[in-house]
Amino acid sequence: MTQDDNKTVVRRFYDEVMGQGNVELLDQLMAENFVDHGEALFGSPQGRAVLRDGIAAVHSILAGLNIELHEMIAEDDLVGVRGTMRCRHAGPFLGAEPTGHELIWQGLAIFRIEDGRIAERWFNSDSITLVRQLGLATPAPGQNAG
Amino acid sequence: MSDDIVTGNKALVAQSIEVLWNQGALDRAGEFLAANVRRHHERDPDADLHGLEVVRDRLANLRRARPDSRVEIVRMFGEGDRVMVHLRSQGGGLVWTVTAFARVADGRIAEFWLIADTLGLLQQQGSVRRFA
Repeated sequence: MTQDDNKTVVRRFYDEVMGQGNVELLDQLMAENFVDHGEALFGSPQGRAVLRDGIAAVHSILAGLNIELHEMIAEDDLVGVRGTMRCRHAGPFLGAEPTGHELIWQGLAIFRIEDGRIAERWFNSDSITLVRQLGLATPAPGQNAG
Repeated sequence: MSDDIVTGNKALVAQSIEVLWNQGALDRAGEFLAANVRRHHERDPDADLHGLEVVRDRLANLRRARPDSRVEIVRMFGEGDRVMVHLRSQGGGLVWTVTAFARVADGRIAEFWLIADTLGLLQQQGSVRRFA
């Protein structure tokens, strides 16, 4: 596998799995024992099946999900992307009733590719912006607004 | 040749994190950041930071807010003039992740994008509720 091959795997993950919702393709693009190192909002799902179920569940809720990749780099077995996510809030998400509003937020993600499949991911997305767009950035019970 | 450039760029980014953040030696910022360095804001281009002084002042403010915070590099790699890094930060009893993407020119960081787990921080502080 060359670095270009590794980039292709990541591009297909965003375009076909996340964008088009073709979660069956994950078997080809991701290792079964996939390990995620995420952030508070999206957590760290362990295993391909968990991620597949998650993407399948939100695909009609985050309608028209589109990931614009501004930049992609690769070295050895790592691939990194800088991108923008866009979708329409078409169904109940994190307890927020659908508004029909456009949601838009930025992300940075690093993937480790092993034997042509995504084995591991480290990422941060601007999840506070997403949560604010959903109207959910409210204090925990018993806390003063800060 | 190109591998040497990437190796040098990664060393620059790693050293900038160690010296400017972990050691707080902000008087050395000019060794790592270009005079016209640009910090891209994660949602508002009007809030981008332009110039060494402005970025250094922001770093000083962030360090004052969390003087005991330290970051450790979890993953770092590069291609061409780009370097990407994933960090684990801790301070004030809180733990959070950061991912950054930098462009290096003439031996200095010329521009960078950085996203921290701000939501996770706010949730740990209780100012934003947690989601099931």
